[in-house]
Amino acid sequence: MIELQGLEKTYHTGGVDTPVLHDINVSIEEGEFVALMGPSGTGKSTLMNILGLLDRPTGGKYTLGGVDLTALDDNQLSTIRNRRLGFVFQLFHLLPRVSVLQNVLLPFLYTEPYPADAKERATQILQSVGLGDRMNFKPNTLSGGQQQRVAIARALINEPAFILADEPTGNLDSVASGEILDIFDSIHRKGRTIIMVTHEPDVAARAERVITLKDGRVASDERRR
Amino acid sequence: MNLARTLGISLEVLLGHRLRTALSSIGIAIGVAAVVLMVGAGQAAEQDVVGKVKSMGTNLIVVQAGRFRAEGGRQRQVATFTTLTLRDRDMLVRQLPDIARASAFVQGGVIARYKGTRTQTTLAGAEPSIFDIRGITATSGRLFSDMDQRSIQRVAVVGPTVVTNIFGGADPVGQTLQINKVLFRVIGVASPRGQDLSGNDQDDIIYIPVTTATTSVFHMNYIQNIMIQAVSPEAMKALPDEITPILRRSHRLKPAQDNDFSFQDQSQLLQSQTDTTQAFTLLTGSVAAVSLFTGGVGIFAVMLISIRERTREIGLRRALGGRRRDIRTQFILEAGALAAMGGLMGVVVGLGGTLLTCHLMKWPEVWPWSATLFATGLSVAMGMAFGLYPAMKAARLEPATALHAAG
Repeated sequence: MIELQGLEKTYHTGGVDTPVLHDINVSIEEGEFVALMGPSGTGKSTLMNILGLLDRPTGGKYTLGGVDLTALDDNQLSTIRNRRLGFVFQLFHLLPRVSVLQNVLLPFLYTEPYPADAKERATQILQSVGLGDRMNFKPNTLSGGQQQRVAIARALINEPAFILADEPTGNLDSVASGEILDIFDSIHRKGRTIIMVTHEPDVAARAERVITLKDGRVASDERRR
Repeated sequence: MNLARTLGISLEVLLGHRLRTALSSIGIAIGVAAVVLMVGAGQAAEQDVVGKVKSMGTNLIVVQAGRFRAEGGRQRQVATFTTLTLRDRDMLVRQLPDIARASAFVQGGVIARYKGTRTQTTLAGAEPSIFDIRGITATSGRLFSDMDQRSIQRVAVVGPTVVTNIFGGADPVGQTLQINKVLFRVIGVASPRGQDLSGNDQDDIIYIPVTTATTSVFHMNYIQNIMIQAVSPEAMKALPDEITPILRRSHRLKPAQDNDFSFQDQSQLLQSQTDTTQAFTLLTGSVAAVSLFTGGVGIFAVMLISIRERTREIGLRRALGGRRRDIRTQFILEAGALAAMGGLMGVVVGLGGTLLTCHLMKWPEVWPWSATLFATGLSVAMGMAFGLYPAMKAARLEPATALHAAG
C-alpha cells in the first residue's frame, strides 16, 4: 500500500546542504504494524514527516495506494491527510479549551461535506477507547493516558488508511504506556495499518515488523512474526 | 471548511482566554462607544435645536424691515428702514391666500416698574394672532384681543419670568405696571416657552398691542417685522416671491433699487443651526472613529501573540487536513470575532451613555442606530483587516515545523 522508492531528503539552509535521508526503499502492506526505530538524529522524524505528508522528499517516489504523492500540491496533500491519515503525537496535541468530543471531531472541520453521522462515530470511537463518559470534559482535566486515548480516537475518526504514531508513549508512565499500546494492538487486530516511531525496544517489540534507521539509511528491516 | 463550525471552535478558544480576549477587545469597545456616544449626543442636540425652532411657530416666515446679511451663521442687520407699516401687513393678508395668519411686530428693551421694583425686560408689540403663531395661551387672566388692539388699550400680557422678577411670583392680573413711564394694566400671564436657540429666556417678555407699542412706548410710525404663518410648508417657500412685488410697489421702489426688507424663514434658521451641530457631530464622530483604529492595532498585537502561542495548534490543524487558506480564514474570523465582541460591549456602553447624556442635558431621547451599525460594522471590518497579516503569517507556517514548535 505504501511504497517508498529511492527516497531522498536534503535540507538546504544558508547555502549548506545537509543530507538526512538516503535512498530509502520501503514497502508497507495494508494491515501491518511497523515500528520505526533508530537513535536520534538518524532521520526518523524526517521520514515520519514525509510519510505524514507534512514535508516533501527532495528525491525519489512516495506512492500511497498506487497514487504518486510527490506530484501533488499543498491543497491536495492537505485533503489526503484529512481523508486517509491519522496522527498520534508524543505531546497529544489536543486543544485544551475545547471538549473531548470537539477534539475528536476536529478533522471533520476540514472535510467536505461534513459527515452526517460525525457525532455518532465520535461517540462510538470514544466508547471503544474507554472515554464514553468523558466526552464533554476539557482535555486538561484528564490524565496523560486519557489524553492520548482522545488523540487516538481523533486519529481514527476518518477511518484512515494508516496511523502515524510519533513516540505515542514518550510522555506517559509505564501503566499508561501499557494501556495505550494495548489500544494500538486492538486497532491493529481490527486490520488498521500502524506506523509507530519509537526509540524504546520494549515498545517496538509490540510491532510485527521493525525498521531501523541509521545515518539516514535503512539499517535493518525485520519481521518478528 | 465549515465557517460556522470553525467560528464555533474559535469562540470556545477565545472565551477560554477570557482576560486576553477582554483586553484585546477593549480598545474596539472604547472606540465604538465613543462613536455611538458622540453621534448620539450630536443627534440629540440637533433634535433639541429643531424642537426649539419649531417652538417659534410652524411654517413661520418673518418679513424684516431693512436689509440683513448672514454673518457667521447669524443674521445681522446692515441697514434700518422705516418703510414697513401696518398697512403693508393688511395688504399682504388681504392679497395672499398662502398666509394663514400674520402679526405686525415691534420689540425693544424697556424698564418696567412695579411698587419700587425696577427691572429691565423686553417689550413686544404685537397683534393677538402672535399668540396663535407662537402657541401661547393664558395661564392666568386673558390674552389681549383685536378690540384692545383697535382701541390702543394699555393692557399687558406678561411672561412667567416677569411674574417672578417683578411681582415676586404673585398673580399680577389686575395690577398696574409702569413701562417706560407709561402705565399698563396687566390682564394675563403667558404660558412658558423656555429658551431660544441662543439660550435667551423667551419668557422674560411683556406683550402689548402693537398699536399701543408704536404710539405710546416706542413713538414710531413704522413696524420692524411682520410674522407670517403660511398655510403649508410649500406656501412658506412660495411666499417671499409673492410678498416681494407687493411690498416693492407699496414702498414705491424703483427697479434699480434693492429691497428695503428681507425674509427670514425657519428653514434658513434651522439650516444654519443644524449645519453647525452636524459639523460638530461629524468632527467628534471622526475623532472617535480614529480611536477605533487604535482598537484595531490592539487586535493586531493580540493576534500576533496568539499565533506565536498557538503555533502547535496551527501545525495540528494542518496535519488534520487544514489547508493554508483554512488556517488564514480561521484567524481572520477570530480577529473579526474579537472585534465584534468589543463592538458589542461598545454599543451597550455607547447607547447607555447617549441616554444618560440626553437625560442630563434635557435633550430629546435618541437612538443613534445608524452610527451603531456603522461603528460595529467598521470595527468588525477593522478587526478582520488587522487580523489579515497575522492570519497570513499563520497560514505560511510549515506544518512539520509548526507541529514540533516549542511551547
